[in-house]
Amino acid sequence: MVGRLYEAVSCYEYRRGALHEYPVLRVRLLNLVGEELDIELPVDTGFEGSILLDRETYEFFMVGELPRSAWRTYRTLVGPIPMRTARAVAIIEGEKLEVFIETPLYGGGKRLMGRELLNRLVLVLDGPTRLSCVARRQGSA
Amino acid sequence: MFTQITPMTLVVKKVDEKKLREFKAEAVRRGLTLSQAIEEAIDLWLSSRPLQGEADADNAAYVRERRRLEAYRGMYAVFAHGRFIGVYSTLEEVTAALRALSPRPRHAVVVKVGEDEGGELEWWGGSMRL
Repeated sequence: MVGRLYEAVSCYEYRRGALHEYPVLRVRLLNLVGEELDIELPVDTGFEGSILLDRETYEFFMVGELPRSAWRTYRTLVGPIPMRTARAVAIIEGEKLEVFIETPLYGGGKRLMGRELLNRLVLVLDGPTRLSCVARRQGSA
Repeated sequence: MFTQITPMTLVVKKVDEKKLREFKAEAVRRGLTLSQAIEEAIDLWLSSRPLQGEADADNAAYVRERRRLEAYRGMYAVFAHGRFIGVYSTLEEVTAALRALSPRPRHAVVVKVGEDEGGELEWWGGSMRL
């Protein structure tokens, strides 16, 4: 597992947090009528879904919403949070990925990119230089 | 036509104190006065009502057709304008079908038959303000 080489394809500067900076990625999202939205999303490995958005931004994706019976719920420390769920396409480094976009059924929400999408990317989190990079593996090791 | 807008004073009783405090704090964070924030909230609430009506109609159409869809497992079924639009193999076909509708829908139900089933996921932190 050691000695792997990764080539950064695109890097984004960390954003200022309350105390410590946090990694972000920029992504182009398409709703299901083909309209585009470029957006920056904090990387959150604690969120198991694809992309969480605030309610106002989520409305852009309601043209591809799942039926209510297929909306998902998240277990959190403060109890379950039901979400509205829509389908969209994310374009990252030229690759098109089908993703779910979610927003809380109640409340305003926030912007996050979670594990369902992160697990399909090669990411380098370079903390000391405060850069999060989409990368490619070098060689076949 | 010129319409004069007269600012008016609004007194609202029995508002939840905690919610109002959070609302005021959010208005400050967004650089708005309280009256500007209330006007924005009113606009947002009013504009979301027709969209909710479309969502209800599309979900009702989906419930009506759900059993008939079982033969199309793995394909995308589309409901818009309160009716069944069709079943498609790819998202590109779904996009073409939605773009061909007139008027262009603001809401549609798109379900991958047999695969979109909801469920419970986890969110470790959950720092979201509700």
